[in-house]
Amino acid sequence: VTRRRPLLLVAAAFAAGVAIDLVVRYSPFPGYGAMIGIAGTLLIAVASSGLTRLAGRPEDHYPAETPREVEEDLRSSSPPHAAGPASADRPSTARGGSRG
Amino acid sequence: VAELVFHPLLPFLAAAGIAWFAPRAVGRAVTVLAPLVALVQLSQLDAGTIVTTDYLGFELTVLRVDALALPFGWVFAVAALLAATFGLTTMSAHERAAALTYVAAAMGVVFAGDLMTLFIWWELKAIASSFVVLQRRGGVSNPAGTRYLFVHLVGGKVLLAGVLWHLATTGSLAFDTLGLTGPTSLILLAFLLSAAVPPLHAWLPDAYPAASVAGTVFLSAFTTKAAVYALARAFPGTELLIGLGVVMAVYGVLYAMVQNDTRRLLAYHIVSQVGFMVTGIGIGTEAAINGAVAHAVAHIIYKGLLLMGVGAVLHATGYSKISAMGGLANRLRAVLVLYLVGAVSISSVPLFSGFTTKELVTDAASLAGLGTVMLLLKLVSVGTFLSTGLKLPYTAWFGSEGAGPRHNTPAARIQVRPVPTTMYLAMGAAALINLAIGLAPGPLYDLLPYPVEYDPYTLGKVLEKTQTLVLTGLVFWVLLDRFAAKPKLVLDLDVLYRDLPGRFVAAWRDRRKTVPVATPGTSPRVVAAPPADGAEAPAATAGVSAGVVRAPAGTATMERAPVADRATRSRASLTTLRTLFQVREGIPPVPGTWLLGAVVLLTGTLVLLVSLVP
Repeated sequence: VTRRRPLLLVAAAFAAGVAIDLVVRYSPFPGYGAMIGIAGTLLIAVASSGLTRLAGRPEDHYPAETPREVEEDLRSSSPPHAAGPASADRPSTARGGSRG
Repeated sequence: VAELVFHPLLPFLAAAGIAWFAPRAVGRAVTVLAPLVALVQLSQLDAGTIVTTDYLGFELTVLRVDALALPFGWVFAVAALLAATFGLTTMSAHERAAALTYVAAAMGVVFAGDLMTLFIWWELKAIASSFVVLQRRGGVSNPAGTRYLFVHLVGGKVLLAGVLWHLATTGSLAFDTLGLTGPTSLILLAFLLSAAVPPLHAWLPDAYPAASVAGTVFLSAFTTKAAVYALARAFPGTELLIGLGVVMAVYGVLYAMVQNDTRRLLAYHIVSQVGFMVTGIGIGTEAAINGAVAHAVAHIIYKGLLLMGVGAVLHATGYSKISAMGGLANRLRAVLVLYLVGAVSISSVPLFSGFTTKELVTDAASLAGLGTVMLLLKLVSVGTFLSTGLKLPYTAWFGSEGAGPRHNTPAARIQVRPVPTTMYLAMGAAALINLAIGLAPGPLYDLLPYPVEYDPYTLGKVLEKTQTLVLTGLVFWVLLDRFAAKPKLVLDLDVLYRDLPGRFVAAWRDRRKTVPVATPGTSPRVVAAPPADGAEAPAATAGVSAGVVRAPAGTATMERAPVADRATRSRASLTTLRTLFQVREGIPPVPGTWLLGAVVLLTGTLVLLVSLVP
């Protein structure tokens, strides 16, 4: 059921696209823009999956340059906001990570 | 010559010197003031201004202002202002000085009127930008910055070789449309390297994510766009560029889809988006050149915004690995909104900048009768929306944890620290510019080199684009699991200089361990061992002691013939080959890079010498 709903939406959106194109008559054929969206997404999903299979390696492939979970040197040195409704998104004038 | 005072690179050079030596507060002030002064200077420069000087018998045009240079000059100054504001509280004095020198050099490239002046600023740009990477002084900035420096110095040598060869054959140093000849093909090669055209692109996604958060924003604006300017100046209408541009766009978007680092993903999108510009230059019509320039301008602003967005998250959390992120939306809501403005701009959503610039290129391809090129560029746009507009924001800000807690709690997996006001200011300004270009592209179109006869806001164009974007979003929703970020590294062509040299050296070391040690000039021989009872054994060969290896006591021995010696060496060679493809832990990348750098620099020098031969 969870899979069906999005698929139905895709079908409905495609049908709407075709209908609009039949009225506006701008695209080379009805549903052209929608086709580009669907085909492009599928092609890229397949191609990126193949690329990962072909050239994907563990993250420590270059042992000396294995990415770290947390990049401490780029993280702000200011303490995290205390719990409260204002949240961390409040702009701060703190000199987080100030080095110069 | 008095007009030389208005050269927009001067405030940046002066500010670089001040930022290096002056106290921190002064350094910060001049970093923001320099772009403002440059903007005032640009407003005083008219197209057609030319300043020349004699140097070593050559007439050098140190300042040339025209319709092609001006848009790049304007956007470079704006980008410098945004990046400087963004990094106001995080950049070190030395990083600031390097960044300002880098901007000055990029300005020098844009307003250079001859190839020798171009080369000087080109080299300074390469060196200064390397220091922007290196000045992070952490993470992988050292090896990545070193590799970046070597790649660009080699590119500089190729450029110099081409310029000198061109001078020798034509007697001209004019930096105008050059056409494709033997000497200019070297110049083209150097420009392609700097524009990150595959297979010469790997330096970009390698180095840009290795810089500091503000350093990456600086880097994203100047190197590739200065190369785009140089290509538009020297090689408009070169058909080779159409194919290269399309390959670039497709290659970049595919690699971006499989990245697990926010900044690396966006770095691949620089490759992809510059592909649109290179395609436009290759098409070479007035509409296409307009498209390339307009897209370069918009790209600098929205890419800066995207990198500022993920940079702000990195600054607040320390996270840039997409697979490790999520649950941040509630605590970094404003950053998400500003990032999304950049994301919809790059994705060509109507009312935002990308729609009014990228579509100029695809439309120009259509007008030139290049249907396949146009279709491929449209498919690439789908990929751009998928990764920057859907995958990255969804997985980084939401992911499996949803929008996450509303405020930091001890239970929250990622603690969010405050984002400085100056970062919000820079992102807000960039978002406004993107929106302004999208809503009213007229002023940007007026800046372009040729008159623009293009209206992006016809009903048909808007509806077609909207359909594409809506369907892309819906299919993404259906395939959500397939697009999940995977903690993997996807090898790119930098493996050629990151992995293989290390393997060669490791294999060589292994070979040296395998081959028996012998004194030079003698073959290793095995002689009779002394009897087990300890009696003295006769020497096999009187007077020869060097290179003698004694067998274990009491064993039958024989002298090894040269054939056996060769067999040993051949076995060692086999081991070398085997090791070459099996060793995972070679030498550290920096020595490998130096080794390769030495080789390529030598090659560049040889090319230069060959070019000097009459």
